[in-house]
Amino acid sequence: MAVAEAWLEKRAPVIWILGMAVALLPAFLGPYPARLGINVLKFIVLAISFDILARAGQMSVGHAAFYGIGAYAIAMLSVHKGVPVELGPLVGGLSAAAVAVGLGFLTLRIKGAYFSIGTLAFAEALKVIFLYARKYTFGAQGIGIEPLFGGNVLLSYACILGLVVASAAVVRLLEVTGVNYALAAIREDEDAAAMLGIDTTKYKVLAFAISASLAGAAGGFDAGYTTYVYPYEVFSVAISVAAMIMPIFGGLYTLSGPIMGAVSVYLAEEILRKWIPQGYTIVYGLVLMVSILYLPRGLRGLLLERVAPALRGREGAS
Amino acid sequence: MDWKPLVAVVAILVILGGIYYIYSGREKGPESVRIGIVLPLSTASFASAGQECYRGMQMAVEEINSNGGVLGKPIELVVKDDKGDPNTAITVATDLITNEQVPIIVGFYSSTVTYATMNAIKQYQPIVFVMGASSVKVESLVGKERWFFHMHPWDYHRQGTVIDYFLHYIEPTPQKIFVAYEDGVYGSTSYSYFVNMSREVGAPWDIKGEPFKSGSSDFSAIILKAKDYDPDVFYIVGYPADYPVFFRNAKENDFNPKLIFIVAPEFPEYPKDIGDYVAGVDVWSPYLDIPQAKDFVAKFQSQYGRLPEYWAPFCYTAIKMVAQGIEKAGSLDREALISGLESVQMDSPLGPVSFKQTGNTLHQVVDKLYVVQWQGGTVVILYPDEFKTGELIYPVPTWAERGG
Repeated sequence: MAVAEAWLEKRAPVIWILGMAVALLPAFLGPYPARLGINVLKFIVLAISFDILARAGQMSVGHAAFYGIGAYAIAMLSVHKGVPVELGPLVGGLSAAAVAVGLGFLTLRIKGAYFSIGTLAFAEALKVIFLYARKYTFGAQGIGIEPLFGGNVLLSYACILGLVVASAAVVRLLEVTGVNYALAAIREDEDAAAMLGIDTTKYKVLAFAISASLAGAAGGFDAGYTTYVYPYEVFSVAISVAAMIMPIFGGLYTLSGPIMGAVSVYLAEEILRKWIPQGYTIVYGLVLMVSILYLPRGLRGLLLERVAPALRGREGAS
Repeated sequence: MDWKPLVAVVAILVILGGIYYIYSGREKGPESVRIGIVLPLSTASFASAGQECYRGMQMAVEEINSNGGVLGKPIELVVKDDKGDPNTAITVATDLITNEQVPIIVGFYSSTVTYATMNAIKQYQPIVFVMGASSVKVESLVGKERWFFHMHPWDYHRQGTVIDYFLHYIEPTPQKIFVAYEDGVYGSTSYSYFVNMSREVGAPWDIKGEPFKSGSSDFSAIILKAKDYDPDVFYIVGYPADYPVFFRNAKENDFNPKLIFIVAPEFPEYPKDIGDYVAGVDVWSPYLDIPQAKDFVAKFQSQYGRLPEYWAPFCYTAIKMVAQGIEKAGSLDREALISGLESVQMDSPLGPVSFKQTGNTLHQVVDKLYVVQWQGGTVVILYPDEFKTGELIYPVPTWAERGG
């Protein structure tokens, strides 16, 4: 697998250029492919966001909390203060990061399943708070806001694609600055990492804040793109589950894994919905079950274990 | 060698290939008139209404196609499940408008989902015929658009009927009313209308309201609050799946208001779940003395072995109206189709229907409601007088008096 990774690493620029070309394509194929493309890109940001926190050994099952904070931050500022919805990703990212830093110092001492349950409870608590703070949030009636870039799909597409590139750059930055090693050490054995002199709290809070800011930015973007925000949607378990399943399905602790996971899981659901208007969720669940049972290292693992060696062999032969 | 990953890939390909094989064999019907359908078909609290609506649509399509279709072609429904989720609804509606390029979309159920979807797709100005969405929030967003057609009565139609009935038909007039309302757009605006319209007409009752989350599995907390308040009428504004839970919790907690009143009480599963005496406001009844309603009920019963709930005749009628609109238009051209729909006039299971201008809506179908009550396992129509088949039982027996 390490050889395969090196093989892929060598071809990374070509793969990225090809990937960007493919990512851009739906924007020019019409509103429906563009919408699908935007949804996929949004989930890529969410999946990367989940993966960054997972690198520190923390599994969030309530990632919708930060997505929802981002969505509500721009929706409320837009309605009450007239802030342009185009600032959604920025406002959403900063708001979610600020909450995460405060929350991180309180909760990151909790480990494993307890942390996961804590994140779930946090998302549920936020949902209730936003439901009942009706004066500002309009409760379950939700907030309707102006469309992002006046409904211009191409600009929206560019915005979310920019967010994906920024997320990838953040991951790359974590890797080249060595933060990734600190996170990996914490993930493998937090006590041992602390003994080695790693400030575990600092790095965990950092990962938490970066992760939350990306999720918040995705929420801030989606608020303007969907033009409507309400608690049951943005703080939903469905968002949290998607944020969790996609990187796990693609392959954790990498950049390409969450991307592959988001693309394949979202598109599989969409294709199934078109083929089977009723009952597609059953088949979707079945496909996910089979995949998770038999692809323990995710799609990326499959690629590295099977496809890359085959390609390498062919190159060698030629 | 570890074969598991390859087995997984083969298994997934077999599943997907099988599905493709099954569905690619379907008649795509390039020579058909395709109508887009967006309904909640797989979400617990919404799906029963969505499925019932779809049954009605299928009945209409079968009838129309067996009589030669429209413009000489069969009708084909292009069905999309919105899961009761705004984002999904926007995606599938965009698919229907820009990719499938259907001339009209029929469907939509919840006010919240409809509001979000209309807000997002209004840039395309598609022709939509919305079945549900009673919230005036939707009306204020798109009611005046020429491309927007609406079947269901708005909040003010319904609350006006409820208040009129409480004021003039219940003796003695209720003095305390507890309103449990689902906390989305539909329930919240219904509650606001009930409170404001009660004030406007100088109704003598006190009102206490409490929101709830539709789809919950237990409403005991709200039932206990209502029990403390001791209302004459316990009025629930929720979705079909919520009501049996309320009734079960009311029975468990021995909560005995003089009347339990709900919205849309004629879902087929209610009687066995809750017994008798529940009253409510409805937009249609299978017991209506209208020839087309009787015909429809007979056909539905022979096909499904039970009485239809109102979404079935609503959506049946909608497809029939669309078919007539297309015939009148003579083509699927957008402007011609809007004009064709505007000139539709027909008898239906709902009575005579057309698109009328009411309130802030340019094209509204239903604005008349009924009040009914379950008595002895059947439905008695109490209001309006011209359709009345019996008298209200009030106060209703307590749970202890009913036994069981």
